[in-house]
Amino acid sequence: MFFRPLVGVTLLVCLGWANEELRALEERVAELTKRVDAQQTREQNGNFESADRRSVISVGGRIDLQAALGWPEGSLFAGKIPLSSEGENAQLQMSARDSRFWIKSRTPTPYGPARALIELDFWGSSGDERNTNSHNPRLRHAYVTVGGFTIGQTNSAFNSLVTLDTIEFVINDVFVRQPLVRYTIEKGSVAYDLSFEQPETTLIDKNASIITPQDDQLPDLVAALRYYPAWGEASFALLFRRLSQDRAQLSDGTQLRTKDAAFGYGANLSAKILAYKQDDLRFDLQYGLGLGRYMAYNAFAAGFVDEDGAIELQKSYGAHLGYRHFWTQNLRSTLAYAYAATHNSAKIQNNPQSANKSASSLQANLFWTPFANTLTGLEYFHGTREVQSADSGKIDLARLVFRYEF
Amino acid sequence: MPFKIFLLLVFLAGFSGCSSSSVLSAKKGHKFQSKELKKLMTTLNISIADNYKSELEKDDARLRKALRLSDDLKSAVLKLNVMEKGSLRDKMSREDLLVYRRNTGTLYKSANEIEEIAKNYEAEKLDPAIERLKQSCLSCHAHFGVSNVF
Repeated sequence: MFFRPLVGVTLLVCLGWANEELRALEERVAELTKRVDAQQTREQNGNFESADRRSVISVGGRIDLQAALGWPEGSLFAGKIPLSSEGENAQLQMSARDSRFWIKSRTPTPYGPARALIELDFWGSSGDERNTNSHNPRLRHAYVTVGGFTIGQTNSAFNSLVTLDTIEFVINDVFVRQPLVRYTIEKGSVAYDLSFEQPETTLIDKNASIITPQDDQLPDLVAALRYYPAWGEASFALLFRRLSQDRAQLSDGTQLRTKDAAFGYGANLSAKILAYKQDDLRFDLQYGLGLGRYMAYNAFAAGFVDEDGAIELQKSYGAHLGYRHFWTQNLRSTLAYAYAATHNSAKIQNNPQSANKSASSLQANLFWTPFANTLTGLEYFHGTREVQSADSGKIDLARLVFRYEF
Repeated sequence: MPFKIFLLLVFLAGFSGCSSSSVLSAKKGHKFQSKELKKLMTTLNISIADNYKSELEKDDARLRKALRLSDDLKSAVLKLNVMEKGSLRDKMSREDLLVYRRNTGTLYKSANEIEEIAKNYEAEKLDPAIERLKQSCLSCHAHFGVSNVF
Protein backbone atom coordinates (compact mmCIF):
# COMPACT_ATOMS: atom_id res chain seq x y z
CA MET A 1 0.00 0.00 0.00
CA PHE A 2 2.63 2.46 1.13
CA PHE A 3 5.24 0.94 -1.12
CA ARG A 4 4.15 2.57 -4.41
CA PRO A 5 4.15 6.22 -3.20
CA LEU A 6 7.51 5.63 -1.51
CA VAL A 7 9.02 4.36 -4.74
CA GLY A 8 7.50 7.30 -6.61
CA VAL A 9 8.91 9.86 -4.19
CA THR A 10 12.32 8.18 -4.27
CA LEU A 11 12.34 8.19 -8.06
CA LEU A 12 11.37 11.86 -8.15
CA VAL A 13 14.16 12.76 -5.72
CA CYS A 14 16.65 10.72 -7.77
CA LEU A 15 15.49 12.37 -10.97
CA GLY A 16 15.89 15.78 -9.35
CA TRP A 17 19.46 14.92 -8.35
CA ALA A 18 20.16 13.58 -11.81
CA ASN A 19 18.81 16.76 -13.38
CA GLU A 20 20.96 18.90 -11.14
CA GLU A 21 24.01 16.85 -11.98
CA LEU A 22 23.14 17.01 -15.65
CA ARG A 23 22.75 20.77 -15.45
CA ALA A 24 26.06 21.07 -13.66
CA LEU A 25 27.70 18.89 -16.27
CA GLU A 26 26.21 20.93 -19.08
CA GLU A 27 27.48 24.13 -17.49
CA ARG A 28 30.91 22.59 -17.10
CA VAL A 29 30.95 21.46 -20.76
CA ALA A 30 29.82 24.91 -21.89
CA GLU A 31 32.57 26.54 -19.85
CA LEU A 32 35.21 24.17 -21.20
CA THR A 33 33.99 24.68 -24.76
CA LYS A 34 34.23 28.42 -24.24
CA ARG A 35 37.78 28.09 -22.99
CA VAL A 36 38.83 25.86 -25.88
CA ASP A 37 37.23 28.28 -28.37
CA ALA A 38 38.98 31.21 -26.75
CA GLN A 39 42.29 29.36 -26.80
CA GLN A 40 41.81 28.40 -30.44
CA THR A 41 40.93 31.97 -31.36
CA ARG A 42 44.03 33.24 -29.66
CA GLU A 43 46.21 30.63 -31.32
CA GLN A 44 44.70 31.45 -34.69
CA ASN A 45 45.48 35.09 -34.08
CA GLY A 46 49.09 34.45 -33.15
CA ASN A 47 48.49 35.02 -29.46
CA PHE A 48 48.64 32.72 -26.50
CA GLU A 49 47.86 32.79 -22.82
CA SER A 50 50.60 32.93 -20.23
CA ALA A 51 50.97 30.36 -17.48
CA ASP A 52 48.74 32.31 -15.10
CA ARG A 53 45.96 32.28 -17.75
CA ARG A 54 45.37 35.97 -17.28
CA SER A 55 47.86 37.52 -19.67
CA VAL A 56 47.51 37.58 -23.41
CA ILE A 57 50.92 37.56 -25.03
CA SER A 58 51.55 38.42 -28.67
CA VAL A 59 54.71 38.23 -30.70
CA GLY A 60 55.44 39.90 -34.02
CA GLY A 61 57.86 41.97 -35.98
CA ARG A 62 58.85 42.95 -39.43
CA ILE A 63 61.29 41.93 -42.13
CA ASP A 64 62.86 44.94 -43.76
CA LEU A 65 65.30 44.95 -46.64
CA GLN A 66 66.72 48.21 -47.91
CA ALA A 67 69.07 49.05 -50.73
CA ALA A 68 70.61 52.52 -50.95
CA LEU A 69 72.84 54.37 -53.34
CA GLY A 70 74.17 57.78 -52.31
CA TRP A 71 76.26 60.51 -53.93
CA PRO A 72 78.59 61.03 -52.17
CA GLU A 73 78.62 58.18 -49.75
CA GLY A 74 77.67 59.33 -46.27
CA SER A 75 75.08 59.81 -43.58
CA LEU A 76 71.77 61.57 -44.05
CA PHE A 77 71.58 62.89 -40.51
CA ALA A 78 71.61 66.68 -40.27
CA GLY A 79 74.93 66.81 -38.50
CA LYS A 80 76.70 64.27 -40.68
CA ILE A 81 75.93 65.11 -44.29
CA PRO A 82 79.36 65.16 -45.96
CA LEU A 83 80.83 68.58 -46.67
CA SER A 84 81.87 69.17 -50.26
CA SER A 85 85.42 68.03 -49.62
CA GLU A 86 84.34 64.76 -48.03
CA GLY A 87 82.84 61.51 -49.18
CA GLU A 88 83.48 58.93 -51.86
CA ASN A 89 81.31 58.15 -54.82
CA ALA A 90 78.28 55.97 -54.55
CA GLN A 91 78.35 52.49 -53.10
CA LEU A 92 75.36 50.20 -53.22
CA GLN A 93 74.47 49.22 -49.67
CA MET A 94 71.94 46.57 -48.76
CA SER A 95 70.76 45.92 -45.26
CA ALA A 96 68.14 44.05 -43.27
CA ARG A 97 69.08 45.78 -40.00
CA ASP A 98 65.83 47.70 -39.83
CA SER A 99 63.97 44.45 -39.26
CA ARG A 100 62.26 44.32 -35.89
CA PHE A 101 60.99 41.88 -33.31
CA TRP A 102 58.57 42.52 -30.47
CA ILE A 103 56.75 40.77 -27.65
CA LYS A 104 53.83 42.41 -25.93
CA SER A 105 51.45 41.38 -23.18
CA ARG A 106 48.15 42.47 -21.71
CA THR A 107 47.16 41.53 -18.17
CA PRO A 108 44.04 42.59 -16.29
CA THR A 109 44.64 44.56 -13.09
CA PRO A 110 42.38 46.54 -10.75
CA TYR A 111 43.62 49.68 -12.57
CA GLY A 112 42.73 48.46 -16.04
CA PRO A 113 44.85 46.36 -18.39
CA ALA A 114 48.61 46.45 -17.88
CA ARG A 115 50.25 46.44 -21.29
CA ALA A 116 53.94 45.74 -21.70
CA LEU A 117 56.20 45.79 -24.72
CA ILE A 118 59.77 44.85 -25.54
CA GLU A 119 60.83 45.79 -29.04
CA LEU A 120 64.18 45.24 -30.71
CA ASP A 121 65.80 46.07 -34.02
CA PHE A 122 69.24 45.14 -35.33
CA TRP A 123 71.07 48.44 -35.14
CA GLY A 124 73.36 47.20 -32.39
CA SER A 125 77.04 46.71 -33.13
CA SER A 126 77.59 46.19 -36.81
CA GLY A 127 78.32 42.87 -38.47
CA ASP A 128 80.84 42.22 -41.20
CA GLU A 129 79.54 42.80 -44.72
CA ARG A 130 82.22 40.51 -46.15
CA ASN A 131 80.82 37.36 -44.61
CA THR A 132 77.81 37.04 -42.39
CA ASN A 133 76.37 40.53 -41.73
CA SER A 134 75.73 39.46 -38.15
CA HIS A 135 74.32 42.67 -36.78
CA ASN A 136 73.47 42.72 -33.10
CA PRO A 137 70.00 43.41 -31.69
CA ARG A 138 69.34 46.77 -30.05
CA LEU A 139 66.73 47.74 -27.49
CA ARG A 140 64.13 50.13 -28.88
CA HIS A 141 61.28 49.96 -26.40
CA ALA A 142 60.87 48.30 -23.00
CA TYR A 143 57.94 49.67 -21.06
CA VAL A 144 54.66 48.99 -19.36
CA THR A 145 51.58 51.14 -19.35
CA VAL A 146 48.84 50.83 -16.72
CA GLY A 147 46.33 53.15 -15.10
CA GLY A 148 47.50 56.08 -17.21
CA PHE A 149 51.17 55.59 -16.26
CA THR A 150 53.87 54.67 -18.77
CA ILE A 151 57.07 53.45 -17.20
CA GLY A 152 60.20 52.30 -19.03
CA GLN A 153 62.03 53.25 -22.19
CA THR A 154 60.03 54.53 -25.12
CA ASN A 155 59.39 57.56 -27.32
CA SER A 156 59.64 60.94 -25.64
CA ALA A 157 56.40 62.81 -25.10
CA PHE A 158 58.11 65.76 -26.81
CA ASN A 159 58.27 63.86 -30.13
CA SER A 160 56.05 64.99 -32.96
CA LEU A 161 52.77 63.09 -32.96
CA VAL A 162 52.52 63.47 -36.71
CA THR A 163 55.46 62.29 -38.76
CA LEU A 164 56.03 62.19 -42.49
CA ASP A 165 55.24 59.10 -44.53
CA THR A 166 58.84 58.64 -45.65
CA ILE A 167 61.55 55.99 -45.41
CA GLU A 168 64.36 58.35 -44.44
CA PHE A 169 64.20 60.36 -41.26
CA VAL A 170 63.38 63.95 -41.99
CA ILE A 171 66.22 66.38 -41.34
CA ASN A 172 64.59 68.31 -38.47
CA ASP A 173 63.20 65.21 -36.78
CA VAL A 174 62.09 65.74 -33.21
CA PHE A 175 62.72 62.22 -32.13
CA VAL A 176 64.13 60.89 -28.89
CA ARG A 177 63.64 57.52 -27.28
CA GLN A 178 64.65 57.33 -23.62
CA PRO A 179 63.75 56.10 -20.13
CA LEU A 180 60.77 57.98 -18.73
CA VAL A 181 57.81 58.03 -16.37
CA ARG A 182 54.73 59.49 -18.00
CA TYR A 183 51.18 60.07 -16.85
CA THR A 184 48.46 60.38 -19.45
CA ILE A 185 44.88 61.53 -19.15
CA GLU A 186 42.66 60.78 -22.14
CA LYS A 187 39.34 62.52 -22.57
CA GLY A 188 37.54 61.81 -25.80
CA SER A 189 39.60 63.12 -28.66
CA VAL A 190 42.14 64.85 -26.42
CA ALA A 191 45.04 63.38 -24.44
CA TYR A 192 47.30 65.14 -21.97
CA ASP A 193 50.79 63.87 -21.10
CA LEU A 194 53.08 64.82 -18.27
CA SER A 195 56.41 63.12 -18.57
CA PHE A 196 59.63 62.98 -16.54
CA GLU A 197 62.41 61.87 -18.83
CA GLN A 198 66.07 61.05 -18.77
CA PRO A 199 68.21 64.20 -18.90
CA GLU A 200 71.38 64.49 -20.96
CA THR A 201 73.16 67.81 -21.37
CA THR A 202 75.03 68.39 -24.62
CA LEU A 203 77.32 71.42 -24.85
CA ILE A 204 79.59 72.69 -27.58
CA ASP A 205 83.02 73.93 -26.51
CA LYS A 206 85.56 76.34 -27.97
CA ASN A 207 86.85 73.56 -30.26
CA ALA A 208 83.38 73.07 -31.77
CA SER A 209 83.10 69.62 -30.23
CA ILE A 210 79.89 68.56 -28.52
CA ILE A 211 80.57 67.18 -25.06
CA THR A 212 78.23 65.39 -22.66
CA PRO A 213 79.21 66.39 -19.12
CA GLN A 214 76.94 63.73 -17.57
CA ASP A 215 76.29 65.86 -14.52
CA ASP A 216 72.51 66.07 -14.80
CA GLN A 217 70.51 65.99 -11.61
CA LEU A 218 66.93 66.75 -12.62
CA PRO A 219 64.81 64.92 -15.18
CA ASP A 220 63.63 66.70 -18.31
CA LEU A 221 59.97 67.63 -18.00
CA VAL A 222 57.55 67.43 -20.92
CA ALA A 223 53.92 68.54 -20.95
CA ALA A 224 52.09 67.59 -24.11
CA LEU A 225 48.64 67.76 -25.60
CA ARG A 226 47.45 65.44 -28.34
CA TYR A 227 44.30 66.09 -30.30
CA TYR A 228 42.49 63.67 -32.63
CA PRO A 229 39.71 65.61 -34.37
CA ALA A 230 37.86 64.53 -37.50
CA TRP A 231 40.05 66.78 -39.67
CA GLY A 232 43.31 65.05 -38.75
CA GLU A 233 45.68 64.96 -35.80
CA ALA A 234 47.70 67.53 -33.89
CA SER A 235 50.03 67.78 -30.95
CA PHE A 236 51.69 70.52 -28.97
CA ALA A 237 54.48 69.80 -26.51
CA LEU A 238 56.49 71.92 -24.12
CA LEU A 239 59.89 70.90 -22.80
CA PHE A 240 61.62 72.20 -19.69
CA ARG A 241 65.11 71.08 -18.83
CA ARG A 242 68.02 71.92 -16.61
CA LEU A 243 71.35 71.81 -18.39
CA SER A 244 74.39 71.53 -16.22
CA GLN A 245 78.08 70.81 -16.02
CA ASP A 246 80.08 70.14 -12.89
CA ARG A 247 83.81 70.29 -13.56
CA ALA A 248 83.32 68.76 -16.96
CA GLN A 249 86.15 67.87 -19.27
CA LEU A 250 86.39 69.77 -22.56
CA SER A 251 87.22 68.05 -25.83
CA ASP A 252 90.90 69.01 -25.58
CA GLY A 253 91.17 67.39 -22.16
CA THR A 254 90.94 70.60 -20.15
CA GLN A 255 89.27 69.95 -16.81
CA LEU A 256 86.95 72.79 -15.81
CA ARG A 257 87.20 73.94 -12.19
CA THR A 258 83.70 75.33 -11.80
CA LYS A 259 80.14 74.23 -12.24
CA ASP A 260 77.17 75.92 -13.87
CA ALA A 261 73.57 75.23 -14.83
CA ALA A 262 70.91 76.87 -16.97
CA PHE A 263 67.22 76.23 -17.59
CA GLY A 264 66.22 75.61 -21.20
CA TYR A 265 62.90 75.17 -22.91
CA GLY A 266 61.41 74.08 -26.20
CA ALA A 267 58.08 73.89 -27.97
CA ASN A 268 56.98 71.52 -30.69
CA LEU A 269 53.83 71.69 -32.78
CA SER A 270 52.88 69.01 -35.28
CA ALA A 271 49.73 68.42 -37.28
CA LYS A 272 48.13 66.44 -40.05
CA ILE A 273 45.26 67.98 -41.96
CA LEU A 274 43.14 65.80 -44.19
CA ALA A 275 43.02 67.36 -47.61
CA TYR A 276 41.61 66.56 -51.03
CA LYS A 277 40.08 63.05 -51.13
CA GLN A 278 42.50 60.87 -49.18
CA ASP A 279 45.48 63.19 -49.36
CA ASP A 280 46.85 64.95 -46.34
CA LEU A 281 49.11 67.82 -45.44
CA ARG A 282 51.58 67.38 -42.59
CA PHE A 283 53.84 69.82 -40.85
CA ASP A 284 55.73 70.44 -37.67
CA LEU A 285 57.42 73.47 -36.13
CA GLN A 286 59.80 73.62 -33.22
CA TYR A 287 61.73 76.27 -31.40
CA GLY A 288 63.75 76.28 -28.26
CA LEU A 289 66.50 77.72 -26.15
CA GLY A 290 68.56 74.74 -25.11
CA LEU A 291 66.54 72.38 -27.29
CA GLY A 292 69.76 70.60 -28.33
CA ARG A 293 69.50 66.83 -28.80
CA TYR A 294 65.70 66.84 -29.04
CA MET A 295 65.86 67.99 -32.66
CA ALA A 296 67.82 66.77 -35.70
CA TYR A 297 69.47 63.83 -33.97
CA ASN A 298 71.95 65.79 -31.89
CA ALA A 299 73.22 67.91 -34.80
CA PHE A 300 73.10 70.95 -32.56
CA ALA A 301 74.19 71.41 -28.96
CA ALA A 302 71.91 72.79 -26.26
CA GLY A 303 74.44 75.45 -25.40
CA PHE A 304 78.03 76.63 -25.31
CA VAL A 305 80.40 76.09 -22.40
CA ASP A 306 83.30 78.50 -22.14
CA GLU A 307 86.71 78.02 -20.56
CA ASP A 308 85.41 79.32 -17.24
CA GLY A 309 82.68 76.71 -17.24
CA ALA A 310 79.81 79.13 -17.88
CA ILE A 311 76.91 77.79 -19.92
CA GLU A 312 75.33 79.94 -22.62
CA LEU A 313 72.18 78.35 -24.11
CA GLN A 314 71.65 78.52 -27.85
CA LYS A 315 68.52 78.84 -29.96
CA SER A 316 67.49 76.08 -32.32
CA TYR A 317 64.53 75.86 -34.61
CA GLY A 318 63.19 73.70 -37.39
CA ALA A 319 60.17 72.88 -39.50
CA HIS A 320 58.95 70.53 -42.15
CA LEU A 321 56.07 70.45 -44.57
CA GLY A 322 54.90 67.44 -46.51
CA TYR A 323 52.02 66.58 -48.79
CA ARG A 324 50.90 63.00 -49.27
CA HIS A 325 48.95 62.09 -52.36
CA PHE A 326 47.18 58.83 -53.14
CA TRP A 327 47.46 57.83 -56.78
CA THR A 328 45.34 54.75 -56.10
CA GLN A 329 44.34 52.91 -52.92
CA ASN A 330 47.64 51.01 -52.96
CA LEU A 331 49.93 53.60 -54.45
CA ARG A 332 50.93 56.83 -52.75
CA SER A 333 53.61 59.52 -52.71
CA THR A 334 54.93 62.09 -50.33
CA LEU A 335 56.79 65.25 -51.22
CA ALA A 336 58.42 66.96 -48.26
CA TYR A 337 60.83 69.74 -47.38
CA ALA A 338 62.51 70.25 -44.03
CA TYR A 339 64.86 72.76 -42.46
CA ALA A 340 66.69 72.96 -39.15
CA ALA A 341 69.14 75.53 -37.79
CA THR A 342 70.84 76.84 -34.68
CA HIS A 343 72.64 79.96 -33.51
CA ASN A 344 76.10 78.90 -32.42
CA SER A 345 78.04 80.97 -29.99
CA ALA A 346 80.49 83.48 -31.41
CA LYS A 347 82.98 82.25 -28.83
CA ILE A 348 83.79 79.12 -30.78
CA GLN A 349 87.49 79.56 -31.54
CA ASN A 350 88.67 76.45 -33.34
CA ASN A 351 87.35 74.07 -35.99
CA PRO A 352 84.27 76.11 -36.99
CA GLN A 353 83.74 73.55 -39.75
CA SER A 354 82.70 71.12 -37.01
CA ALA A 355 79.91 73.31 -35.67
CA ASN A 356 76.69 72.60 -37.56
CA LYS A 357 74.72 75.68 -38.43
CA SER A 358 71.83 74.54 -40.61
CA ALA A 359 70.56 71.64 -42.69
CA SER A 360 67.74 71.00 -45.10
CA SER A 361 66.19 68.07 -46.90
CA LEU A 362 63.92 67.45 -49.84
CA GLN A 363 62.24 64.05 -50.12
CA ALA A 364 60.01 62.44 -52.70
CA ASN A 365 58.81 58.86 -52.71
CA LEU A 366 56.50 56.32 -54.23
CA PHE A 367 55.06 53.61 -51.96
CA TRP A 368 53.19 50.56 -53.10
CA THR A 369 51.25 48.15 -50.89
CA PRO A 370 50.84 45.09 -53.11
CA PHE A 371 49.20 42.92 -50.46
CA ALA A 372 48.40 42.87 -46.76
CA ASN A 373 51.11 43.98 -44.31
CA THR A 374 53.56 44.71 -47.09
CA LEU A 375 55.29 47.86 -48.24
CA THR A 376 57.49 48.42 -51.26
CA GLY A 377 58.89 51.87 -51.76
CA LEU A 378 61.38 54.01 -53.57
CA GLU A 379 62.54 57.31 -52.14
CA TYR A 380 64.84 60.07 -53.30
CA PHE A 381 66.52 62.24 -50.67
CA HIS A 382 68.46 65.44 -51.19
CA GLY A 383 70.13 66.89 -48.12
CA THR A 384 72.33 69.90 -47.45
CA ARG A 385 74.39 70.99 -44.46
CA GLU A 386 76.08 74.26 -43.65
CA VAL A 387 78.61 74.71 -40.85
CA GLN A 388 79.83 77.69 -38.88
CA SER A 389 82.80 78.25 -41.20
CA ALA A 390 80.29 78.73 -44.06
CA ASP A 391 81.43 75.51 -45.70
CA SER A 392 78.61 73.41 -46.99
CA GLY A 393 77.90 70.01 -48.47
CA LYS A 394 75.12 68.03 -49.97
CA ILE A 395 74.08 64.45 -50.50
CA ASP A 396 71.71 62.74 -52.88
CA LEU A 397 70.44 59.29 -52.09
CA ALA A 398 68.00 56.82 -53.59
CA ARG A 399 66.64 54.08 -51.38
CA LEU A 400 64.53 51.06 -52.16
CA VAL A 401 62.68 49.31 -49.37
CA PHE A 402 60.74 46.09 -49.02
CA ARG A 403 58.95 45.50 -45.74
CA TYR A 404 56.69 42.77 -44.42
CA GLU A 405 55.01 42.77 -41.01
CA PHE A 406 54.21 39.51 -39.30
CA MET B 1 45.35 43.26 -39.99
CA PRO B 2 45.31 46.84 -41.29
CA PHE B 3 44.74 45.50 -44.78
CA LYS B 4 41.67 43.61 -43.64
CA ILE B 5 40.38 46.73 -42.00
CA PHE B 6 41.10 48.53 -45.21
CA LEU B 7 39.08 45.98 -47.14
CA LEU B 8 36.23 46.22 -44.75
CA LEU B 9 36.10 49.93 -44.91
CA VAL B 10 36.20 49.80 -48.65
CA PHE B 11 32.99 47.84 -48.44
CA LEU B 12 31.53 50.25 -45.96
CA ALA B 13 32.66 53.27 -47.90
CA GLY B 14 30.73 52.00 -50.83
CA PHE B 15 27.91 50.79 -48.65
CA SER B 16 25.17 50.79 -51.14
CA GLY B 17 23.56 47.45 -50.48
CA CYS B 18 20.48 46.59 -48.57
CA SER B 19 18.28 47.14 -51.58
CA SER B 20 17.42 44.96 -54.50
CA SER B 21 19.49 45.49 -57.63
CA SER B 22 16.48 46.92 -59.38
CA VAL B 23 16.00 49.45 -56.64
CA LEU B 24 19.68 50.23 -56.78
CA SER B 25 19.71 50.84 -60.49
CA ALA B 26 16.48 52.79 -60.32
CA LYS B 27 17.58 55.00 -57.50
CA LYS B 28 21.28 55.72 -57.46
CA GLY B 29 20.88 58.06 -54.52
CA HIS B 30 20.47 55.05 -52.31
CA LYS B 31 24.20 54.65 -52.31
CA PHE B 32 25.93 56.76 -49.75
CA GLN B 33 29.61 56.95 -49.26
CA SER B 34 31.45 58.14 -46.25
CA LYS B 35 34.56 60.20 -46.92
CA GLU B 36 35.51 59.78 -43.29
CA LEU B 37 35.39 56.01 -43.61
CA LYS B 38 37.54 56.11 -46.70
CA LYS B 39 40.17 58.20 -44.99
CA LEU B 40 39.99 56.04 -41.91
CA MET B 41 40.56 52.84 -43.84
CA THR B 42 43.51 54.36 -45.58
CA THR B 43 45.25 55.32 -42.39
CA LEU B 44 44.64 51.87 -40.92
CA ASN B 45 45.98 50.19 -43.99
CA ILE B 46 49.35 51.88 -44.04
CA SER B 47 50.47 51.90 -40.43
CA ILE B 48 53.21 49.51 -41.60
CA ALA B 49 55.12 52.50 -42.93
CA ASP B 50 55.30 54.17 -39.54
CA ASN B 51 58.93 53.99 -38.48
CA TYR B 52 58.61 55.91 -35.27
CA LYS B 53 55.77 54.50 -33.23
CA SER B 54 56.13 51.53 -30.92
CA GLU B 55 53.86 48.54 -31.37
CA LEU B 56 51.70 49.63 -28.44
CA GLU B 57 51.45 53.14 -29.87
CA LYS B 58 50.36 51.59 -33.16
CA ASP B 59 47.79 49.54 -31.23
CA ASP B 60 46.52 52.71 -29.57
CA ALA B 61 46.20 54.38 -32.96
CA ARG B 62 44.34 51.37 -34.38
CA LEU B 63 42.01 51.16 -31.39
CA ARG B 64 41.34 54.88 -31.54
CA LYS B 65 40.42 54.46 -35.20
CA ALA B 66 38.32 51.42 -34.30
CA LEU B 67 36.33 53.62 -31.94
CA ARG B 68 35.81 56.02 -34.79
CA LEU B 69 34.83 53.15 -37.04
CA SER B 70 32.27 52.09 -34.45
CA ASP B 71 30.84 55.61 -34.40
CA ASP B 72 30.71 55.70 -38.19
CA LEU B 73 28.99 52.32 -38.29
CA LYS B 74 26.36 53.53 -35.88
CA SER B 75 25.81 56.61 -38.04
CA ALA B 76 25.52 54.29 -41.04
CA VAL B 77 22.89 52.20 -39.25
CA LEU B 78 21.00 55.35 -38.44
CA LYS B 79 21.02 56.38 -42.09
CA LEU B 80 19.97 52.89 -43.15
CA ASN B 81 17.05 53.01 -40.72
CA VAL B 82 15.98 56.37 -42.05
CA MET B 83 16.19 55.06 -45.61
CA GLU B 84 14.16 52.01 -44.67
CA LYS B 85 11.37 54.19 -43.41
CA GLY B 86 11.66 56.60 -46.32
CA SER B 87 12.85 55.99 -49.84
CA LEU B 88 13.08 52.21 -49.62
CA ARG B 89 9.80 51.48 -47.93
CA ASP B 90 7.73 51.00 -51.05
CA LYS B 91 10.50 49.56 -53.17
CA MET B 92 11.35 46.43 -51.23
CA SER B 93 9.39 43.25 -50.73
CA ARG B 94 8.41 42.17 -47.24
CA GLU B 95 11.11 39.46 -47.25
CA ASP B 96 13.74 41.90 -48.41
CA LEU B 97 12.75 44.28 -45.67
CA LEU B 98 13.22 41.54 -43.08
CA VAL B 99 16.69 40.73 -44.42
CA TYR B 100 17.47 44.43 -44.50
CA ARG B 101 16.49 44.83 -40.85
CA ARG B 102 18.42 41.74 -39.82
CA ASN B 103 21.56 43.06 -41.51
CA THR B 104 21.30 46.53 -40.08
CA GLY B 105 20.88 44.86 -36.69
CA THR B 106 24.03 42.83 -37.27
CA LEU B 107 25.85 45.97 -38.31
CA TYR B 108 24.83 47.65 -35.08
CA LYS B 109 25.97 44.65 -33.03
CA SER B 110 29.31 44.71 -34.83
CA ALA B 111 29.69 48.40 -34.04
CA ASN B 112 29.11 47.65 -30.36
CA GLU B 113 31.53 44.74 -30.42
CA ILE B 114 34.26 46.83 -32.01
CA GLU B 115 33.65 49.58 -29.48
CA GLU B 116 34.02 47.12 -26.59
CA ILE B 117 37.22 45.70 -28.04
CA ALA B 118 38.70 49.17 -28.42
CA LYS B 119 37.73 50.24 -24.93
CA ASN B 120 39.31 47.11 -23.45
CA TYR B 121 42.54 47.49 -25.49
CA GLU B 122 42.01 44.00 -26.94
CA ALA B 123 43.92 44.70 -30.11
CA GLU B 124 44.24 41.01 -30.98
CA LYS B 125 40.43 40.70 -31.16
CA LEU B 126 40.03 43.55 -33.59
CA ASP B 127 40.99 41.58 -36.65
CA PRO B 128 38.45 38.75 -36.13
CA ALA B 129 35.74 41.32 -35.30
CA ILE B 130 36.47 43.21 -38.50
CA GLU B 131 36.39 39.94 -40.42
CA ARG B 132 32.94 39.12 -39.00
CA LEU B 133 31.76 42.57 -39.89
CA LYS B 134 33.11 42.17 -43.40
CA GLN B 135 31.26 38.87 -43.79
CA SER B 136 27.99 40.43 -42.68
CA CYS B 137 28.49 43.25 -45.20
CA LEU B 138 29.27 40.75 -47.95
CA SER B 139 26.29 38.61 -47.09
CA CYS B 140 23.95 41.61 -47.25
CA HIS B 141 25.45 42.79 -50.53
CA ALA B 142 25.18 39.28 -51.94
CA HIS B 143 21.51 39.08 -50.99
CA PHE B 144 20.67 42.35 -52.63
CA GLY B 145 22.92 41.78 -55.61
CA VAL B 146 25.12 44.76 -54.95
CA SER B 147 28.38 44.46 -56.81
CA ASN B 148 29.65 48.00 -57.06
CA VAL B 149 31.15 48.14 -53.60
CA PHE B 150 34.16 50.20 -54.59
